[in-house]
Amino acid sequence: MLNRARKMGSDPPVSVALALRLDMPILTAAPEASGQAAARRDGELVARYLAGDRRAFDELVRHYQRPIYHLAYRYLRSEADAKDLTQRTFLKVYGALPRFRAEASFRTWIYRIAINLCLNELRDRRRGEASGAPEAIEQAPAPAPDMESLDADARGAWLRRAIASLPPKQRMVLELRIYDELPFREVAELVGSTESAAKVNFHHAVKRLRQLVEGVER
Amino acid sequence: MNRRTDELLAAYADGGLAPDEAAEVEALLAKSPEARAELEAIRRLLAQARSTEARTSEPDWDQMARSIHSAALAAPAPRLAWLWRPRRVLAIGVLAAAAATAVLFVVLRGGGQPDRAARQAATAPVAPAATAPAESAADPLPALREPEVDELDADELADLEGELESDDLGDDGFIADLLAAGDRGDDEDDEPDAFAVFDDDPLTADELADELPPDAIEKIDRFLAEASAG
Repeated sequence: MLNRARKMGSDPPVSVALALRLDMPILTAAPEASGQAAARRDGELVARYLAGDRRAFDELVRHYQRPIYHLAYRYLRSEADAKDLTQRTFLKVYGALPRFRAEASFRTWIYRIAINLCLNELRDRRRGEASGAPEAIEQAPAPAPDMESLDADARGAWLRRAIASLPPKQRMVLELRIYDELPFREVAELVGSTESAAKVNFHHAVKRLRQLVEGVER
Repeated sequence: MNRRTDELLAAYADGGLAPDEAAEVEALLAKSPEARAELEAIRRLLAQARSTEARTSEPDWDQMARSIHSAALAAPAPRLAWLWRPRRVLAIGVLAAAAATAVLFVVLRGGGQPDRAARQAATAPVAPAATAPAESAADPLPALREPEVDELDADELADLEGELESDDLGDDGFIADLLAAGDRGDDEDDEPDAFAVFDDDPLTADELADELPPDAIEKIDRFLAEASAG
């Protein structure tokens, strides 16, 4: 991150902790309008925690435990594992908050931590499998004769499998948009691409999903 | 429909375009019935997809928050854990050896012989920071530990920031890499489990003495006595 800042020819941003200590203004990333209030609130909570208000961490937990749990559940498909991963995410956040750098939003940061933990967990699961199969992208769902013939639950389950069968980056972009409703700028940060590339990934995800659905509907 | 507007259509349907991009798509929509039909199909699909988020029973959020709080309470204070990262353990070992040498030098110069309790105290590992006292009864949850950053003054913190930002750390910017990994949230896996014992179960002075070979203390005593006599 520091190296990236150097390459861009800018001064590395100071941490929230340092800004507090030196009585400097706390700079936060400019979020889109939808997340602006949340970003401001998160920045204030982080600053309060670092200034010694330990209850601010509990407030962060209450704001983010639900989206992190649902994100974990989407990857792990187990309520127990999703709960465990949510707790691990917050413990990592707790340990790393003094090093949190305010150039990213807290939301992007905690999502990144949770996604990495999910991917690590999936990787460990694959390693634990006796088959030793290479990284398996979930198979596209078998075509159903007619989407309209399926009830809502079956249709939902089919669509979830279709989404899970997308290439990993497309899947991540699509899910972060439609389930987590993150702006493309944050999606791009999370998948490590530019905002334009994230939009193109979203386009390809939607296009692939349409092909799958229309294949079924034909 | 050109390729760029085609690629922007899905993001437009999802309300994710900047105003200038949206204007570009809208100009196309105004003149292309095909693009409008495409837009409608994408909107229907996205609405369907949104409604399919895997249904799971909602956990007891209060209980989960309490559980996270308790786990944080039991965890080492923020920043404490980094002391036990592998290469830092090595660095701390080197520093400890240097400190022990300095103590020995002072003892030899002074001709004194520290008693066993003092030696044990000097060699005992630092216990983790004590838990902060619980807050008032009005607070439903016991207090979390203060982040260690509060224990640094501004100069120390500035020095630390300077160190972390320099590449002159002798080991290919290890700390910067570590921080970058931390920012990515993926440093946990780099930490061998073997080091977890330091976080949770530091040895007391007596336990440390038990870990030493039986005659180690006697040998040290003899060495110090000879050194003093010499």
